[in-house]
Amino acid sequence: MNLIETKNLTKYYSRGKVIGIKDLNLEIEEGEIFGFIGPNGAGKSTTIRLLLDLIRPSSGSGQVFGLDINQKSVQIRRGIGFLPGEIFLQENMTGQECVDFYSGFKEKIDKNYLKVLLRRFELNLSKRVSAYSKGNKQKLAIVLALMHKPKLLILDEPTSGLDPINQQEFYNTILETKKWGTTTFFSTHILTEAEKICDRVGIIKSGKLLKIENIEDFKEKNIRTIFVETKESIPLSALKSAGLKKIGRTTNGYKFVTAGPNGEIIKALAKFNITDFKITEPSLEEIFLHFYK
Amino acid sequence: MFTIIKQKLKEQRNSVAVYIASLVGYTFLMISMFPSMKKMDIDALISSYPEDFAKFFGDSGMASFGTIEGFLSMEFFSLFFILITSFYIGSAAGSAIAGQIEKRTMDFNLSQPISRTKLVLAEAITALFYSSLITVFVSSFTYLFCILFDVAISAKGIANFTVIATLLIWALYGIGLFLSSILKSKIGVMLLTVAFTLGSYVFLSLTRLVEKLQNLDMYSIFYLYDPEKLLRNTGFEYYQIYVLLGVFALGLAGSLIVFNRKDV
Repeated sequence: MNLIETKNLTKYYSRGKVIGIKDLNLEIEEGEIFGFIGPNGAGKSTTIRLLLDLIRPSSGSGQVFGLDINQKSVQIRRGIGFLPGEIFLQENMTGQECVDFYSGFKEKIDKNYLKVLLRRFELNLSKRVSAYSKGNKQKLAIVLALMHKPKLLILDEPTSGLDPINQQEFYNTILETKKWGTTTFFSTHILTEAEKICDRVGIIKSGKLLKIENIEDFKEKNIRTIFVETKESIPLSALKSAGLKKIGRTTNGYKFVTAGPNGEIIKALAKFNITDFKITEPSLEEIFLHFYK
Repeated sequence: MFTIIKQKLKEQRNSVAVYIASLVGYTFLMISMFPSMKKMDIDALISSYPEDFAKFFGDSGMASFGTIEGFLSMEFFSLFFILITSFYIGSAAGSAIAGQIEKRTMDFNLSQPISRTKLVLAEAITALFYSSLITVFVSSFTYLFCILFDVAISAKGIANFTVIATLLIWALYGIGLFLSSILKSKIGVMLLTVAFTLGSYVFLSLTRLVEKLQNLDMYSIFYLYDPEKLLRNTGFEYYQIYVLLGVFALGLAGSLIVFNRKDV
């Protein structure tokens, strides 16, 4: 069963002058973790806000749990845990007051699970929201989204502001929710995050869904940026190997955008006097330029 | 919905307590002054003022300054009490929709299983409750202080005043709530609500001064509110209740229609 389904969902802003999303056709299966990847302004948050009925579509339709997103939005939201892209809570409330307040909207809160979450994220609920750092606000919002064990999690850039340890706790928590059948739809611009936990990913750019891929196919692309430091001049013909998408100069050496296994390029580079190299995730702009058009 | 009402009651409790304490304090000051003012033959002094000056303050003019009803009406209830309460009402209305969108707390609140209508109604119920409480406290203490200072005032008159003053404040809240659905700033809503209140009062006063405007007095919301007559227990007309409730209901309905169609 598809938990989320959209048909030609479209949203324009500024009286049609700015595209939010255009003709989005999406099907999210029950129980999967779906990552929605795209740069800033791609339409990720617009999609999420449309699903939650915070904004209304210009055309097209959407269903969550088989219910229309505009006509049955209250019923839909009973089964959802939502994490917004930026966390704005009542500043004069304490963390505990926030938990009590938002618990009042839920049918049932698993108090034991709530304690587990608070322990896992090391969150002190006695402080006022105004006293929380960005990371702690994010953790509080994650707890609020998860505490009622929703059927569907909709998360907008969920690890923003979290340190690496808490990021890992978050990934573990989401994988845990999958075990009891929760579906997760989350937006991100971090590839490695999607690679860690997603079953499928959707690539979105400028309001258009470019592709949906299984995570294994996505991982196989192994899109990486390699920075090489060298004082030598490397003849580029020596580096023409399968998967090399882009070559550029840096102040200290070269930058390569690659896809697939990097064994051949490492072997080719070993022939030269390389002082340092670094492998990182490329920017989304580079990914879209070379792999998704 | 009750979750929101409970939270809002708690949130606004302290500020409402300050409003009540301040207004009750001012009531005490006014009533305590009245016996001395009465001895000073204010009426003779006022009758020496230009006629238009008296007209500005309505049918009762300033001739009844020597009665507690006229005195309280002139010094407190005609404008000051309503204006001060309009700050609370404007702020509450501004927070209901515009403020939440401005502070972006609306996203998280609307992601909960509650309709936009119930969200606004919860805010409205809180504001109506507290604004009624302010009026009831001020009216009750007016009566008590009159007893304390041995000033005769009609209990029924106080009750009439409480009803109409409350409905006037509710009507102003309805207007504020509608403004909140169309504006983007809480402070803007509050200022416009207060400005409307003051503007309506000034407009009514001008209709008494300017001959060309005389037939337009019914277009001011203060036309329906004459505190001196109410306190004298001359009663009120049912149409006052219907019109004031109607303004509130229209404002509320308008705000719901706009907010339910709005992108947050």
